[in-house]
Amino acid sequence: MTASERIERLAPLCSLFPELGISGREDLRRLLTAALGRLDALDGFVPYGRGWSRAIAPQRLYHVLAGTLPVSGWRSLLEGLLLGSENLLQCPEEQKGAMVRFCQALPPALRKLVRILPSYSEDDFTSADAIVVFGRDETVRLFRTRCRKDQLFLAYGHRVSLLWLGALRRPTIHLVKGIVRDLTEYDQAGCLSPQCLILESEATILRLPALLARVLSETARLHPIPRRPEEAAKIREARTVARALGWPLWEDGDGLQWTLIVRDLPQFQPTCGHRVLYLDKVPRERLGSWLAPLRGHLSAIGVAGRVPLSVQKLFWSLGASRCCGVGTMQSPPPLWHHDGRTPLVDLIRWVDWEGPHPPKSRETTRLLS
Amino acid sequence: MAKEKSGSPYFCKELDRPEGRMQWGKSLLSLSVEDERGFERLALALCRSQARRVAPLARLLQADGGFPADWRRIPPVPQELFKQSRLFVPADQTPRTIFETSGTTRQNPGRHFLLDVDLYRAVSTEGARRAGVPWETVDLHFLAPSPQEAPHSSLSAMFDFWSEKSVHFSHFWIQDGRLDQKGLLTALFEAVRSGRPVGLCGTAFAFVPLLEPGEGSPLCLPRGSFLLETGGFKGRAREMSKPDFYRALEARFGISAEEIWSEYGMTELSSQAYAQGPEGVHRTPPWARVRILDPLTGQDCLTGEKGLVAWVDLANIDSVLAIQTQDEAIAAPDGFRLLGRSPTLPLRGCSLTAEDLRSP
Repeated sequence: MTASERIERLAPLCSLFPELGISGREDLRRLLTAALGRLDALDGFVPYGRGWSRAIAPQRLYHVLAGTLPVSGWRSLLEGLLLGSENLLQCPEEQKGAMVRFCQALPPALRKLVRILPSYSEDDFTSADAIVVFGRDETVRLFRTRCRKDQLFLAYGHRVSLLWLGALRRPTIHLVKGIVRDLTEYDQAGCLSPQCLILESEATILRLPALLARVLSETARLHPIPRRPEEAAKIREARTVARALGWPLWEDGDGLQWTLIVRDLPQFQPTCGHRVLYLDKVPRERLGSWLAPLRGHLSAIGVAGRVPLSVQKLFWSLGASRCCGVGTMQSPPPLWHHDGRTPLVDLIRWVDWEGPHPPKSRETTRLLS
Repeated sequence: MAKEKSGSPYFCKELDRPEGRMQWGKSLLSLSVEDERGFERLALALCRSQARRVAPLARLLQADGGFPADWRRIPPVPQELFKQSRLFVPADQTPRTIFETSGTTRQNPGRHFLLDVDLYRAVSTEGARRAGVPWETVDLHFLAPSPQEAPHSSLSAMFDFWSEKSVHFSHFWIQDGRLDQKGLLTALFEAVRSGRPVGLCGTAFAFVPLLEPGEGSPLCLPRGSFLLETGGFKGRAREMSKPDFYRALEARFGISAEEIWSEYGMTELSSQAYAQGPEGVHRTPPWARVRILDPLTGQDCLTGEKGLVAWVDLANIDSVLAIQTQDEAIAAPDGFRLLGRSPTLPLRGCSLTAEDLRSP
């Protein structure tokens, strides 16, 4: 099957799973073209310099998927299928249902390239020529040690995203709705979910929670999330700690749907998730030291308005790979450089053919005739 | 003492002084399990006293609408706060002992500041005695480092109190972070040969190397011996169910499951709860109470329901008496069935957590 044929088969899936952020055929073509330069580089040798080159995809990809969200697993599988690889999925129990649903939507010709594993399988792991891991740094380290030297290894470890609104003075309802969208989508469980909102102005930090509370209440009323006991315990703990430390707090009571905490800390600390958003007043001159614990872990920054060059430089130096508008944090574009990498590029290797003509398939070709 | 002085500033000062602490200790040890009114009176007096000096507790009381009339309404302080704040009552005094939590959060441990270990010594020895742990009648072998090696370990301190008060032999078998397995097994075989009963006490995880296949032939500890485990396996690379663990201990040491005790305590507390056997219910001493709270509602669980353990420990005079844990338990009529640490959520996947940030 050629890359174009795979694109044709995968395109309908994109509209069934809009969370992928890939609209269809055109986005899939762009993805491959951005990675390979042209669509047919996986199908045969294409002109390259004075000779010819061909992209080689992994024959068999072993994916270790995260337990939080299905979307990263779907995207990883989609990329594997786009390359034409066989895909073995080590999928956490809590995401198996979502992955089965995704696989069932695949056309039969592609479905047979996918196998969901009941658990870790050493034989399958060893048989793969490429490994993709999503998860905690600990998980990444574990699988890295299991890899052979000749296995390609690609990992997506710990990341933190946040909102930086700088010296914003008058938050609009449009902006507030955007913040709520970023916070509530996926229940703040992904690496693109903002863990805190940073402001420089004391006045705004006191004005914003009331507006956020209004929109969050409405969202909770329309789309309430049933809470599991372990989530409830974490939320209650975060609230009690805030009360005990005298941090201003806005919350929805026993609904446990959302929590806003204005805190005063010398450095960043993570949230427990589940829509517990911290609002931090951090003057520009302290931003570097405040974010220091995140060095190498920063992912997306949601911003509103102008971002000064010094602040941009700081974010990039801490590892941020994406700066986007408030309200769009959870929907990166198809060509998003996840953890700073061009999609697909790290999964392929190139082989060169030096000669005036490319080799023909199913024929032995003489070099430099 | 508490009856006359409760609520007065004098009461606070008393607990900063050795005589006052001794008096308080006597009040606690004279309580009986049935003395609900006595417990309440002391709990409310201590809460009022602590709220004057511990701002986080005062804030929680204020947020809950003021000072409670019922000990069950004393707001439990999350364990997490021991990492974020210095919770120490005695004004203008320096804590003589600081116990620290261990585990994956060593870079930012929870700290329990104690003006003195006097009351900790009193309740941890008397509590074990009243629970029925026969620590005074046997040679004691601790699968733990000594207090000299681990000065911030509350468990090592407690074992040391037992050792001090016992007339029998005792030894700490973890040195430089390693279990002296050979020395311990030699000592245990000698105890078996001479028929001297022993108490083998340590964290559940410290017992694991002794249970590995090929670690010597099974022992048959002399009659009167006991094992005491604490801490469980949650968060460790190797986990084992409690029944499996107890079966392995029975087979290895040749004693019955009823001679295996489970201790439940923590760095942030002074008192402990004990259970006997794999199905045993944990019970607290009369000066401590445990509530099992439903995290979804914040209310007390009914018997048979699962929730999180919250302690009210009257011996915790230097910090806060009421503490909310993340340990799961099932409420029982006369205690609770401890399940262990609340399961780690598959939270975050690739999103970073507090624990991750604190790990090296």
